Amino acid sequence: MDFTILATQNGEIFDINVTIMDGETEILTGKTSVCCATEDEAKIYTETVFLPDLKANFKVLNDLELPEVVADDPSIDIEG
Amino acid sequence: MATLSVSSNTTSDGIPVVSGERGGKLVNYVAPIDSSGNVLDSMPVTVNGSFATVKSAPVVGAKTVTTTAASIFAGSAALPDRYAMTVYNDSSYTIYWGPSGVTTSTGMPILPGDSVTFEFSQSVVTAIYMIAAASAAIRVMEVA
Repeated sequence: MDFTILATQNGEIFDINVTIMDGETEILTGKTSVCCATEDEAKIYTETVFLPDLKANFKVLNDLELPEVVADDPSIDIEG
Repeated sequence: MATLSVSSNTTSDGIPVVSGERGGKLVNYVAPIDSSGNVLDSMPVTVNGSFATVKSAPVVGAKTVTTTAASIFAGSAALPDRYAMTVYNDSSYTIYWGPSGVTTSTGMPILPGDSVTFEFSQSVVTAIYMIAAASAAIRVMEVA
């Protein structure tokens, strides 16, 4: 199972289209938009947030392998 | 059944007035005319701001709000023709919603354990963006 990410800049946002394929078969498509500065950031968001959320919500994506997510830096002061 | 006829009366703009009987009462109204010049019996009406009834199964999902503002929906994309979306903050962090440029400094907060329902015009596609100071779990429901 593979995925492709297409990020298109649209003003201050990136429109993201993802397609998840199992061989020649299209399993699922997803579409979102994010507010970020670069295409790389948009793709990182897609790989680390959007796709994992899709995998969590759609059992058909159980076999989808995603890049390892790096944990948040604990030194960052976060709001509680 | 209504009995209608085009009378010789017109408005000041020359638009014909239809006279007829509906429910035992004589009625006059400005005639709607189609592109061929035919007088139409029923007046087309568009109602804005009303709620449709649920026409399809709701979509629910568990999502993550992060430090990158992103549009929020329940499934793999925003539900077409959605008229309502409810977001429940299932995290211990405050999340913030607003337009695409929303930040944690400008957005409207949703406190941990709180929920907000957004109501949409089905004729206008409107994205709601959310951001948080750390990864925050939410539950989302959309209906169309």
